[in-house]
Amino acid sequence: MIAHSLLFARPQDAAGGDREEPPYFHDLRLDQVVASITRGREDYRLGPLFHAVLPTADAVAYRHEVVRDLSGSDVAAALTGFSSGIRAVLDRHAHPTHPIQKDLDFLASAGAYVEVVCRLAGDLRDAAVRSRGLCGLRDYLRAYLESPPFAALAQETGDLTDALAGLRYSLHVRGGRIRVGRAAGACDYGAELEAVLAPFDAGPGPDRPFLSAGPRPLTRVDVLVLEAVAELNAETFERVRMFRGEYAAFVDETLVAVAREAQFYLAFQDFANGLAGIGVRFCLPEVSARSKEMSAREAADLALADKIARDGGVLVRNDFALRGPERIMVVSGPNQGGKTTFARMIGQVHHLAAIGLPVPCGAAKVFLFDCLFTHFAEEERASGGHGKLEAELLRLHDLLERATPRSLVILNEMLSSTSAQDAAAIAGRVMERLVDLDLVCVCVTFLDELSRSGDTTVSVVGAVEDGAVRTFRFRRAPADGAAYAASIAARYGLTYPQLRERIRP
Amino acid sequence: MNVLLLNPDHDVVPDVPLAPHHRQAGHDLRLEAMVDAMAGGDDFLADVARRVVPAGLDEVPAIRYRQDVLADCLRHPDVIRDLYALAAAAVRQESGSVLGAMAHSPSLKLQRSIDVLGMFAETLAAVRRLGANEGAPFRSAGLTRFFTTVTTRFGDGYLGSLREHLRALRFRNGVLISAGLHPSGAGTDYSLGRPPDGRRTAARTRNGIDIRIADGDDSGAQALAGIVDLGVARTAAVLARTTDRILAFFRHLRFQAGFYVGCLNLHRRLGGAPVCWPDPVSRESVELSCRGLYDVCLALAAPDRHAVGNDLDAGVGLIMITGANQGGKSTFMRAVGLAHLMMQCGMFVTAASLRATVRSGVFTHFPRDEDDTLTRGRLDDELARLSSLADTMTGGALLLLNESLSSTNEREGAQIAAEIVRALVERDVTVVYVTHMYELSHRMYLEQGNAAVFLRADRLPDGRRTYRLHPGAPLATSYGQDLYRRIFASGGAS
Repeated sequence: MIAHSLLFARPQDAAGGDREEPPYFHDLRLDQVVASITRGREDYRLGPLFHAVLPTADAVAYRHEVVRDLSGSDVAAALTGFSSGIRAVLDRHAHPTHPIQKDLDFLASAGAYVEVVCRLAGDLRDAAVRSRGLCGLRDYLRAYLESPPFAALAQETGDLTDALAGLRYSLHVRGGRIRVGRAAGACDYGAELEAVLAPFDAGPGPDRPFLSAGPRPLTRVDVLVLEAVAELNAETFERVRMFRGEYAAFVDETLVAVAREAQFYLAFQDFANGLAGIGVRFCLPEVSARSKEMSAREAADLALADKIARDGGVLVRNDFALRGPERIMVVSGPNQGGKTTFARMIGQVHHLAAIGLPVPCGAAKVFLFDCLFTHFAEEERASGGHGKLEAELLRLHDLLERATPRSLVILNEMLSSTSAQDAAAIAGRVMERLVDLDLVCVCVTFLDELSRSGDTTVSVVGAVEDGAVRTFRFRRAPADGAAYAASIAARYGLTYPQLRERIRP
Repeated sequence: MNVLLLNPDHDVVPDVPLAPHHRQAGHDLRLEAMVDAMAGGDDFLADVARRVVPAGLDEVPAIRYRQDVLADCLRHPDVIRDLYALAAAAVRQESGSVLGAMAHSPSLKLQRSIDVLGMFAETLAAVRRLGANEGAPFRSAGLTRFFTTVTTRFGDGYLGSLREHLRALRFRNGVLISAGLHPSGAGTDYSLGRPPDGRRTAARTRNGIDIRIADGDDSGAQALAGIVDLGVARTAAVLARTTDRILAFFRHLRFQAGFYVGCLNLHRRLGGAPVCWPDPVSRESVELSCRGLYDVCLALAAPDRHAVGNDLDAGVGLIMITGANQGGKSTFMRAVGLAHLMMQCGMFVTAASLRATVRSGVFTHFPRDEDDTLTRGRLDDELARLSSLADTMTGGALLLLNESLSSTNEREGAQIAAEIVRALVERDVTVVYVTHMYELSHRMYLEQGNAAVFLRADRLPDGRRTYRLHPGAPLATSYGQDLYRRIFASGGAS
């Protein structure tokens, strides 16, 4: 039974933590974002943890507390080490067949487990953690370490590991014959030679690393040597054999779950850190289940940011807000001017907030939705003219049926398959329903009329500079164009003051 | 252990790539002619010259140090040539060693190190003998110290003990290894015991358990070889490192002796043409005075023609050269640049006398081949190159500008150039500027006054050039117009 969770205040909720991908994931490009976040951590099956939204502000707060604790790098590093340590114990890649090797392998993984658990307990004891999630884990570990089964495991593992580590044997190889014996003292001819060759030690020349003698697959001859060593040290190897029988199942179920849950936070933290270089900032949003206001400064679209971080480019950040009675944000602007990105970004921010994670904004305030609906133009499923409009209207109808006053609806270029007159009329109706429902909506459209749908509607426009240069910035009022002016010399840093500054004495 | 023939306190790393501005200066100053003369047909010597000459020293004592060594070499040319030959042979033999870079396994590496070290030991003995015969008459600190170090470090005792260890490492009585147990059951922390002599070892491992690899069991033999590899790995690494270090010593020696051999070659090629030891001056004062300075590369290219020497007294921050086209302006500027490179690499210079401030670097900005500027506009290209020079240039540098900023109209070019020159001069960069832009030179004449020297290329009344430069204010008409009229005379209808 899971006794503690880093994701849920009540451990029993953890069972429902794995969900199918929500329908809006693809429209908001959250599928790509989550794939990017979890890349390289496939073993943990993290995807489902990013799907399920939280029902209450307190559930969100529980995760925010953990996020804050993890922003101290010590705690994050401790959990990173713990997760990968537990993973390594669970997926032991070596599957030895020889009985002596099996015994040794079992002992090694018990040793690794003990070490990983003790290290995390120690790290958390010293760390300044304040979250319910991590304080609870600290308490759980303290009790676990003191429990008799673990204490006995740790003791016996340590004793046997030390005994084996202290073994040394000698090999005298001559032709095809090896004589295995107990090593008579540590003679190191390499070191002796080093002293002889010392006159060159201060000289130029690169150092060569010693050949690594780390884990390697055992050859047939290695096994023969191992058997000889075991025979020369029979008592120790008998204890190792007994150990494997006595401590068959030593891994704790709750700690395995914690190792996975920690990765939910760590994966996101790494992802967020990776975007810092291109100027994406993250903050913990203020999340309300009562108010329907939203406001964010310097928000970024994560799918685009992730692409820019990989392929280069300039990231544009935008502010957005709906305050007081405002409910519907109508977004218009030039083609290819970033409208879809802007709307998608608002959806992403709300989903991330609803799973208790930081959002890609300088500062943000969001509301906790019960359901998020997206309605995007469907290029692939297009079945032509009439059929397409029909399918779209069916989808809109379904959406309006299911939406509640606490839903967030994102409409992107709806009704683009029909005439503007038809579209305006139908969209007007849809807008009325949305206004009546008093839900929060972001509506990207080419229909100017929609921005005048009522008192609760605000209009946001993609700004254009002089000369029709797109800025990918969105404002409630059109932005002024900024003039570029620079002399050609200044562009190369070669004006008198610039150059004077550049030449160091 | 260091060679220290080029620098009193460190060995220059032979294969560091040249800084771009060094390469550019070498290209613009047509250094290749000098490189060829220094190489005398030896590609390695050409490479040494290409690296050492442009990357000059910036301290007077360091320059004197090389001048002293070079003076010794000029007195005893055979010793430095022999030293170079020994080092070159050792490096060549190493790279020709049978197993070479193919040796991946520690056992093969060990084998190779034993062979190479044996050869190196003989070469070291030969170098020592060279010093024993010839060491006494040297006057320079560099060569004296070099032979003293070699003689004391590599005495007979040391070389004898080295040979003995190399013999033991042939493992006539098998290999003795000790190991610990890795948690996987494999061995770990292998170390090599002193190579056994027959009887002693038998006693030591009397209570052991024997494993035999059957004849013809190839995979077993291979696995056993793998264990031996682990056992000798550290020893092989130690020996390989020593081999690398002695090899590095010989590489440094080949490189450094090679520089002096190059200087000897150049000296020989110049025949009787006048050379002198330059008098380097530290950066506190700005000095540049010479008598009979000529372009070494031009002299090498046309040994029959007597190179025209120029005199100069210009302890100032700006030297502007104007006047007749093909009147020797660029040649003189190159001669100034080359003289600085030669002085600062510790060499003699091609002049009757030269006294000059040691520069923090010699930078050049010459017109580019047309092909290079296809992607950018020509002005953009010029400015970008100037900007990258500004990234590396510091106060105390010497900057040679050859018709810079003439790729745009004269007014704009002069405007930009005047600002650049003013900033550079204020930052203690000495600028030598060859230009036909009267707007610029005239403005500099008014602005810089006594802080600049203005030289003009002469032309005789009959139009012939003397290739001599004389002090003189810029003239409003450029002789280039002559050329223009002559070329365009027939087709000047429009």
